[in-house]
Amino acid sequence: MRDTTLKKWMPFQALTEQGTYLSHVIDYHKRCQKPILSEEQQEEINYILTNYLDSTLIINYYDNYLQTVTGKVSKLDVINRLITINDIKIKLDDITSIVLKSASF
Amino acid sequence: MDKVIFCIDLKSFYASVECVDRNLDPFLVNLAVCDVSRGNGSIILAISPRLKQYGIPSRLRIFELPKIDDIIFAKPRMKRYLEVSSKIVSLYLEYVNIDDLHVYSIDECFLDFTHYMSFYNCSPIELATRIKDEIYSRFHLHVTIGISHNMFLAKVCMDIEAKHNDNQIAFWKEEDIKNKLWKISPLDKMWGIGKGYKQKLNRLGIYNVGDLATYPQEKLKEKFGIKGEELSLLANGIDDSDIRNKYIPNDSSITSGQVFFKDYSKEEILLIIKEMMDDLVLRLYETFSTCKEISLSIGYSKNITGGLNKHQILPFATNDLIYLRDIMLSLAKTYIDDKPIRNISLSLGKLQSSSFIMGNIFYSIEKQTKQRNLLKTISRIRKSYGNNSVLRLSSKLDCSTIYQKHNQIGGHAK
Repeated sequence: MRDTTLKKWMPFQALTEQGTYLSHVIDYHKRCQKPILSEEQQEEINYILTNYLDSTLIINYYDNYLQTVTGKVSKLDVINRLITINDIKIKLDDITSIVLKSASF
Repeated sequence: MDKVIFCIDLKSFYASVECVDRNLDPFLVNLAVCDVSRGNGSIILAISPRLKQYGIPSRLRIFELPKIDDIIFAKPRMKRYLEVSSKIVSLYLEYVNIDDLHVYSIDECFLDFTHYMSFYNCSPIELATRIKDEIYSRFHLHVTIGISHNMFLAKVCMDIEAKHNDNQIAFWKEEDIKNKLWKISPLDKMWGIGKGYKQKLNRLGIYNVGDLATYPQEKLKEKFGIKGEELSLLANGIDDSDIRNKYIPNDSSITSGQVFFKDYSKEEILLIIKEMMDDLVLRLYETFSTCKEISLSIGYSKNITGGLNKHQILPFATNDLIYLRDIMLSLAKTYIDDKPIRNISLSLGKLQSSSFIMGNIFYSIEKQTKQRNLLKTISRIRKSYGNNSVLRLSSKLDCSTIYQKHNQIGGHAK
């Protein structure tokens, strides 16, 4: 099997700064509209958020574009409607879906 | 179905940007991008196409320039070039998805148009002309485009043929491998072969790409290993690289290095190491990584020559500033001789994710947390007030280079 990766085309990164400029461009191009959730989807998110106990969650959320984070919830702030996971604060309204990765019980 | 790969290169990028910003035509003006204030030996980053006509090599120093009166010297502005470069990448992304784009360098990109040809509904050359015209109308920059059915042929086609065509576009098909690729001579004109390999291959009686393609692959593999096999495939116009299949190296490192304009003593170099480690560890922290290997390399002054290259593997992965700095300093103290030093490079290797950190009974976790909080604060201050806002006091000494370093990108003026 011959190598099909871009190994031999790895750029010679003399300019580390180029990376930050490129990531801005890529962020800009990934931007999209915030998805609208159906009532069933909202209920499912609500069910998991009330029953997740201590399990690892995969949260898909919207922040300019769709992003994913995997980890354990460190804080769920119902008053400000914020969830903190892996040091990332996510508004509850921005969550598009949640998957239970592993149950701790 | 044959792939359609574009390799797009911005023609003498730095020089053209400088010309355009001065409202000049790069084909009519002699312009060289270099920092004249650094003296006669400073390197020329780029020259305008008009200057290239004098047969000047692409990389040279100021005193090597032929005596031409009306040369404009432009001070490099790396930040501006990066800006323009990212704007152009942004333009490419209007044509293709991010997955089908590969940024090879500041001025070279590969685009995979295979799945877009029916959408644009035109021949590859028409599409290339369209992209070329759009880049010219938006940025007034000239581009060279090589088209073929794999990345290697696209790149070589651009280097060999497109640059000499009137419309700066070339399209290589299957039959061009024999007609054009195999005619390339000397060997080092082909991408992937440098001066060293050219000499080694010449000794085997291989003088052009055709010889290389017809030379038995097993023998090349025996002589040069994997590289030999790869060269044989490339010479036959075979390159299986898939732009969508991004390569993620499993062992990465971050490096910081600099070349000094005067000789540095051992004592001064320890101070420079401290400064550089501050920045390096901050970079490590900001990319959420820890490192497990630390290395130091030093080059002595011209009349002494030589240098040293030392590395140490750490007992555990860490991103602790004081710990890493002390190891680097002890490496430097033990191995560096008391000779004038001209260049230095520090590197942190075997990077891992910092989302978990192994506990260590010899190094308290409280201390590490304290250090991490410090880095967090410094990082935030620097983000809002600039890189020079938080520095160690010793940076005020004359031998410090940190102010200059922060005002540069890639060792050239911002």
